[in-house]
Amino acid sequence: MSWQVTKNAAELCVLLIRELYGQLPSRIFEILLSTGRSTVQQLGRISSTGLRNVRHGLAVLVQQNLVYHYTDSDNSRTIYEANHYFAYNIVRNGKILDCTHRNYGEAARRIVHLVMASGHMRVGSIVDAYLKSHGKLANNVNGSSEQTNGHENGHDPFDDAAEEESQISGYQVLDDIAHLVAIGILEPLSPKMLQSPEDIKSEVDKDLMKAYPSGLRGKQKGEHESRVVNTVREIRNRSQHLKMQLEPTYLYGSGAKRRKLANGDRTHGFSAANDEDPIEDGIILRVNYEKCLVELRNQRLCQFVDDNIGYTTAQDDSIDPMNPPTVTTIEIFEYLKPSVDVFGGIGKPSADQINVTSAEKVERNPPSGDGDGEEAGYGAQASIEEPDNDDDDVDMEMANGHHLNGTHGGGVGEVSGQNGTINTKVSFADKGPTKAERMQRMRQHLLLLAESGIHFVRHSGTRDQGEWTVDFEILIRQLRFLELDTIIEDTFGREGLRLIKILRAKGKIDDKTLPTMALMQKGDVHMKMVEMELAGFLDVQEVPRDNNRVAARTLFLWFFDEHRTLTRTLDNTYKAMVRHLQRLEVEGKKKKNILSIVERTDVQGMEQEKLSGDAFNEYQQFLDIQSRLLGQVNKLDDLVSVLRDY
Amino acid sequence: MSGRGGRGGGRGGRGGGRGGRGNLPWDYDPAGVQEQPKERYPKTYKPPRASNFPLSAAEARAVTYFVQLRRDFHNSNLYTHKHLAPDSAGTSSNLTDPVCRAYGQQQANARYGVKSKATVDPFLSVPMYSHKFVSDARTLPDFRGREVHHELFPEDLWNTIEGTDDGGKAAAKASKRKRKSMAGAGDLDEDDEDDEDVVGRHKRRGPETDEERRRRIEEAAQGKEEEGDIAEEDPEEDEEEMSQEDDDFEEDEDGGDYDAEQYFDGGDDDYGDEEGAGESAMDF
Repeated sequence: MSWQVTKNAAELCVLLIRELYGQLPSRIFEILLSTGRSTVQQLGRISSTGLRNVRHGLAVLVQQNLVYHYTDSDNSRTIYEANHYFAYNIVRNGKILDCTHRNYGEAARRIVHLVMASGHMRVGSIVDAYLKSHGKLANNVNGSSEQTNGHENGHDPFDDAAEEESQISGYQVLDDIAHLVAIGILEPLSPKMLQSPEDIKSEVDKDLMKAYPSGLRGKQKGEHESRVVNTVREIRNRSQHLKMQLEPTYLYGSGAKRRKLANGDRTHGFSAANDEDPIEDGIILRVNYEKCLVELRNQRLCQFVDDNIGYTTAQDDSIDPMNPPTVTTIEIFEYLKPSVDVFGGIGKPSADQINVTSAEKVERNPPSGDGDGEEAGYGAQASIEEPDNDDDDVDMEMANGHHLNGTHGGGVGEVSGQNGTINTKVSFADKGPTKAERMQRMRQHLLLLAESGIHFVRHSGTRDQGEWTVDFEILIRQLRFLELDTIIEDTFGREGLRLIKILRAKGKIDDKTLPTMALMQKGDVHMKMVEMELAGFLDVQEVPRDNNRVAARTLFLWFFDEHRTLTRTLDNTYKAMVRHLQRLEVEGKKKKNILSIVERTDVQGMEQEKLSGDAFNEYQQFLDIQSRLLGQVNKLDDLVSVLRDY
Repeated sequence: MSGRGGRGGGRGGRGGGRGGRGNLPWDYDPAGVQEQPKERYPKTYKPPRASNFPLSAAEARAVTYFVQLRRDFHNSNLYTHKHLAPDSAGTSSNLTDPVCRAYGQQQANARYGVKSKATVDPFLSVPMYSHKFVSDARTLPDFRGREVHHELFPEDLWNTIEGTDDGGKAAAKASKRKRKSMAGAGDLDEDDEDDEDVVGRHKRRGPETDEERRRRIEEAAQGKEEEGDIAEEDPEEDEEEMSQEDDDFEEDEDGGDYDAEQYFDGGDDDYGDEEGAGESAMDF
């Protein structure tokens, strides 16, 4: 997870802070990044602005968790250090909010929004702020929330909260917050977490050294190191305690309680279950970006599967990753219904429970719709489009329009066609799929995933009709290559990509063998190779066969350095993001007059009514440009997260 | 690479140098590159246009949420507005090139404008009705009236987050006031002294235990509320804060007889009346 701050990355962080948090903190952050750890006095001297400015800037940065600070207990000197991880994460804020909205509902999003806007927040004040502002916020986002409605995963209580805005109570908000903490999106913040990992380690080290006044020798050294590691880990895990406390209630709660919630009378059912507040008032929370990253990764993987196989199968896959490394078929099956309990009733889900839920699904999303709903795939697994597939038999049959799913080893011979998805869907909706059928079909999706050329899941056992694992590292590596390949193809064309793929598969290759391998003209190969070498994607190694290093007597080995290519591409991506943000600033300046009007308190929020026609059009133009630029930044961030973070 | 033929064997300048890498068929040949600028941007390159790739629903939502978050933060008191110096790069004179290379801190600082009485735009500073809707450009974040958690901030910043960090002046005032109210609250009082002294003072105090620290945090948190009240009572202080940016000098409060500004304080009364009358007369 660690990455280096290159010049472009630093610029990006500074720009992001300036965009969101304002000028002063960004200035301070810029200096912190370039000088490293420093005290207030040092910062003041370097920046040659007043100490008061420095302190104010730092205070904002601390409030937003953007700096680490560490106070030495010996001399009470406080050292500040830039936290570039968090600074970079600013760019993901929008996506995280979107993801929260989709997975956990509107209320959850609003809570995360509040916490994000103020860096960290006490539970009590979140509730206050939420109750104060939610009327206003509700109007703003109505339009967008409708879009997601069809989008799956009604597995939790937030949905209800979004609908019955009117009688929202403090308790409900607390409940939602507790749920978010249990999921891990919010985490309790302790002063220790604002210290940089190195500082924590050195402090622990110093503490433990007191036990050995005469210094370490021999065996003690290893012992000491392991103790340090353990203590550091314990400190790190401390923030997990609350999450663990809440998990049983919110994630693995008994099915009964869950169902009650889903049925709508959630406040009732819940307050009966436990009377005291679900989460203490005084706990300070902040957004846990690592967990958010996991959610985003799942989303990305899901999209990856979607691109490669089909929508429903993708939904299956999206479910796996949240689970522990190995899950059984039945566990996944459990997860598929609108409930969160993954571990509830392994192996024997009661029959009525599932009938109820699957029936509910059919009602909620009539499958005669646009084929985007989740049901589409439960009915027909037909949307299989595999550009690079292995299983030819499937493909052939697909081309014919009909094929037997039984080839996948599932057992149920079911006919589905590529052309007529809607027909098949309807036929299943009529019946209302039974438990066994659904299970079978889901198994087939899983098998499909396992069998595809990119091994999305691994069939790793046979307990409970099979166990499944997602090998993230391999999968992400493939995804990474895919992204790189796209870039290479776009820059150097298909030939370039072919050459690089050969190099990747074979390692280092002599320049004489390369043309034969690539089945290309010698001249073409050489030209491409030079082109790619100049761009830094390839490198050449010279191995002289004798002492005089004549070209004719030298081996030239081409190779593809993955690590270097990755870092280079990343840096270029940062640069692109920087340019986009700078462009946004320029566009803002161009429309300065109109924006200054829009920012007035009486205009904000009702631009359409207050602005005159021309002005409003101009404002719309700006919004359009802004959304394009920010959208592109988000896309670039997708690339960065694939290449770096996942 | 067809251009190469015309140059008579091309690849000039490859004579000796370059070690063993002489006769390579793929050798990069700078002579092959035409140095003359071409007439147009290469027609073969068609940059992808944003309009061909509209944002998906999810992406559009992500952008909306980000913009919403940004607006919320910009409306909060912690936001500090951008104010670039009028003649720096990136402003109206030079719209196309936002990138401005600054060498050294001085040049970097020169990019930023200073908000003071001297830089006010005389054409816009005349009070207008619409000004009441425009939020004042903030140069410093304002932590007053905001819930802050002392344990998360280092002690250096406690004054700042309490809203009592006013460089020299107000700190001196506040500490004076506090000295009156809380007799002998040792450490806290010292906190309000001059900035440059901080390091030395901390050294003096020496190491402290966790418990002591916690106690101090609590004390500060309690004290904060009182101070918050005091601070809010004092609009004049507020104004000062907004108008002053870089001045960090300290004012001697105990000027005594030689304090020129206080000199006429004693005879304030009769002037006060007149002034009041004058103001009200002009006030229409």
